[in-house]
Amino acid sequence: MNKTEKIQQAEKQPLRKQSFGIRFKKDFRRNYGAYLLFLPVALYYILFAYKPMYGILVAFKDFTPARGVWESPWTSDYGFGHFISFFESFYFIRVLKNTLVISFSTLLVTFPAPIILALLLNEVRSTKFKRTIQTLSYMPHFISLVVICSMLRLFVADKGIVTSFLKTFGIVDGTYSLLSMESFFVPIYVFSGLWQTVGWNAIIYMSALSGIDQGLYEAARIDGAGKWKQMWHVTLPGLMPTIIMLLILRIGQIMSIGHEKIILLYNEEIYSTADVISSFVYRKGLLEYNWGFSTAVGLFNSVINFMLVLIANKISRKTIDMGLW
Amino acid sequence: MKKRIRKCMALTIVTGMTAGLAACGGGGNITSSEPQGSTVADNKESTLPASSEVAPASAADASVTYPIAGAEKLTFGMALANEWSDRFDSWTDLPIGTAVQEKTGVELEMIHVADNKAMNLLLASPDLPDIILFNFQNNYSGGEIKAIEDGVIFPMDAEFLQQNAPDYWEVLNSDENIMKGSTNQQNQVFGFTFIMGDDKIKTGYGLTVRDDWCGQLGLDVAQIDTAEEFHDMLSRFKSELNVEIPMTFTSKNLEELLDYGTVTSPFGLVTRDVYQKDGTVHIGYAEKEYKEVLAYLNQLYREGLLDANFSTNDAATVTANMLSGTSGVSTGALGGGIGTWLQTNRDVEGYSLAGLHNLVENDGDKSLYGFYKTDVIGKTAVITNSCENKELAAQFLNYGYTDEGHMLYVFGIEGESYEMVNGEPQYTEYIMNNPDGLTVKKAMSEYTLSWDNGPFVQDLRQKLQSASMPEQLVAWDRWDDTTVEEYFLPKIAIAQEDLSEYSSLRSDIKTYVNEMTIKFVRGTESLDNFDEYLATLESMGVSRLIEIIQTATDEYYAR
Repeated sequence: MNKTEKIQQAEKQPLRKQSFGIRFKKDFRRNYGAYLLFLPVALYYILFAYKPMYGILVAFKDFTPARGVWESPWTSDYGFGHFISFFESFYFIRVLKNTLVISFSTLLVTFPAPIILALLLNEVRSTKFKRTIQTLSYMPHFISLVVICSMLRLFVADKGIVTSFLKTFGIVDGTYSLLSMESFFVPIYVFSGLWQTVGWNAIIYMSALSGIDQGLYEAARIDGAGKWKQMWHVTLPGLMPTIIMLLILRIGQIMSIGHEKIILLYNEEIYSTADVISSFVYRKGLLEYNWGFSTAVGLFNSVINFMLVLIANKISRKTIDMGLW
Repeated sequence: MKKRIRKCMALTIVTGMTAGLAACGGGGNITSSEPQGSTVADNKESTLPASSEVAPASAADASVTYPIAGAEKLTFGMALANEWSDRFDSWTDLPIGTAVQEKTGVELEMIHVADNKAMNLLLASPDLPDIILFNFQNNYSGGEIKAIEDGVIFPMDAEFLQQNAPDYWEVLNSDENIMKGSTNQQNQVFGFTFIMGDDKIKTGYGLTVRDDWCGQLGLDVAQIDTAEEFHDMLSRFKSELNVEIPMTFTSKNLEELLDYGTVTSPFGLVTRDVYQKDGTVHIGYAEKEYKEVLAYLNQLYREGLLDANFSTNDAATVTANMLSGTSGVSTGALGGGIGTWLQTNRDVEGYSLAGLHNLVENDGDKSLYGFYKTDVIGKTAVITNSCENKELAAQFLNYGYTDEGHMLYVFGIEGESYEMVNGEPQYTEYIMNNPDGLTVKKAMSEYTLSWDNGPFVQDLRQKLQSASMPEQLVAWDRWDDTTVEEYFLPKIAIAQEDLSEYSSLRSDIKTYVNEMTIKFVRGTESLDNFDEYLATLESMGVSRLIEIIQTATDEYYAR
């Protein structure tokens, strides 16, 4: 190992000066195995992430499958017709508002929860108990979303377990499903999301926790730090890079709430709190065959998301000097 | 995310297509459920079938003689149907598919896709099948007429049809509405359409009620037709029979009840949907009378007579409620509602259902509106522009409109799926009471296309026999007692330049109306706000919507 390291060290200098082509060739010859391993990944991204990108053109066209992407005519307003009709749509404000409300409440509740769970589990001494809790908490992650939603619908039905529970406190009268009440949709969505994801998302923090140098704890203890102080001054700073990275990634998804869970849970009566951009796009694009319009809205979403990631990264670089890049 | 979904669907298509091809090559490897060994093992046109002594009925006046001699192979695009796709790979493996090939002398190569979405993707490929059977009206934005513009459908003119599809041409000319329903604004015929044939077939939807409960209460179902009588019946169900949910339904059912005018007549509203009165277009949900309908429904809801969970219910819950005695009234179609429930509960002592007349203002009135279909509806078999032998394709599709073809598509094969009894076709036991336990629909799907849509004229006898329970027939008559023909909007064609505006207006407004309707009925929105609701509709452009439909209607009557 030392030998190869030496060779690499020796070759590093001249490598820089050579052109990219030659460097690549050399590197390829030496590490062709690694490149071979990388090939499927590269292919995946080229085929499924980059090649379909020309489909974005559809957003600016009155697309009909029969004519294809190129042959379909451009929309009005120099191709921005779909965007304008979305912004002027009766439902624009509503779906935008709902998307942001659901997204931020989800972030607020489900982002800190796995961190707390991981910290708590970290303090548990009995491995048996710890394992049990962990298994139980990430179990819902493995259940299909369709099944999860059918279960949820039963839980909040007129005689469901959640409804009965709330009824004992006099919050609801229990004659109809909670899903037919506008004010309950966001809590149902958010807390079921918590139930679904908390255990699974805690895993990554657990592994980050195990990576923290035990010596730091020891030093803190010697300095007289209690459990609380240790957590505050050793554990949390140790977790910080992971937290920041995940937070930035999450912020990049603010605008995109998956339509699957929404359409499995909502109904026409509660559209005013439940209809989000993606479910709106789903109805327009797939149910009404308005491909161009839904692509335009999807593109709008992606652009906003992309900008949010950039901004979040910038802020975190500026303030705590951590970021994705 | 969307892109990836589309990718997946494309894959589905490809697999679907290869599966279809493989099935064609293999030729009937899964025919175990066919009865008594299929008689048509070989379908190559070289071996002329023995049944050629049955002279084609249309031979006298037409130039098309079946089987067509020396015909080439045609490709046929069709979505798989759940009714048979669990037992067969390809439509040509079915008795109906084999028989059609044999009788017409045209060999078919099926290109099956999984569903309507996949068909839309198939339409995006440059190399289309020669013939496609598809419901463009519902699943292709802009319908058949747009598909002509997009270069998918080959539009047929009078001369082409007279030469290659004389029987179909004759059917088209038999009725103005059939002709107009099958043509675009330029009088080009877009395809071989599914035609209703008899006005009675166009009806068949309404309220269904527990007849035995009415009997216990001393009520005569035949006499219940006004809003008050209906209300009294429901409240007696609740108070005297302790029925938990007197009337059960889904939000989709509510739309149907309102759009088909089942409960709107007593309040002077024709329907919640679009209708016409002496050529002037109206939309029910934007009329003042709609408030009275909502007030009535809200009253029923407040008294606990309607299903409190209707906005979250699914069809399975409604069925369960009706079968278990939780509910006494629901709504549905002839086959799906009353038919299925009676069939399922036929062994339950005393359980009986009856159809209820649409609600009306005065005893014995006809209801203003009712469930009704246009003369031309559903799936259309079109010839695509990729087809190289369009004449042959037309000759092949013409077969469904000949007498012999009619019998094949509607009743199937004599001796197997039907027998002639006193000169009338009668489905056999295999269809009506299948030995393998198949439902009527599933059994029919093997031998006919009349359970679905296709290039032929539908037959009243098919519906009468498949809805053969006496309760169904009585219900059908009661539901049919309407003046819907006066108000029904024909199959209009929206002008191309208005199309995208029309579809976005219609979908946005419909979403709002459905949402508000549920709120008004459940009382989460007070009916005092009805004027605001009307104002919002106005601001959303409901007048413009009516205007577009009016233009299309005027064009229809002027064509």
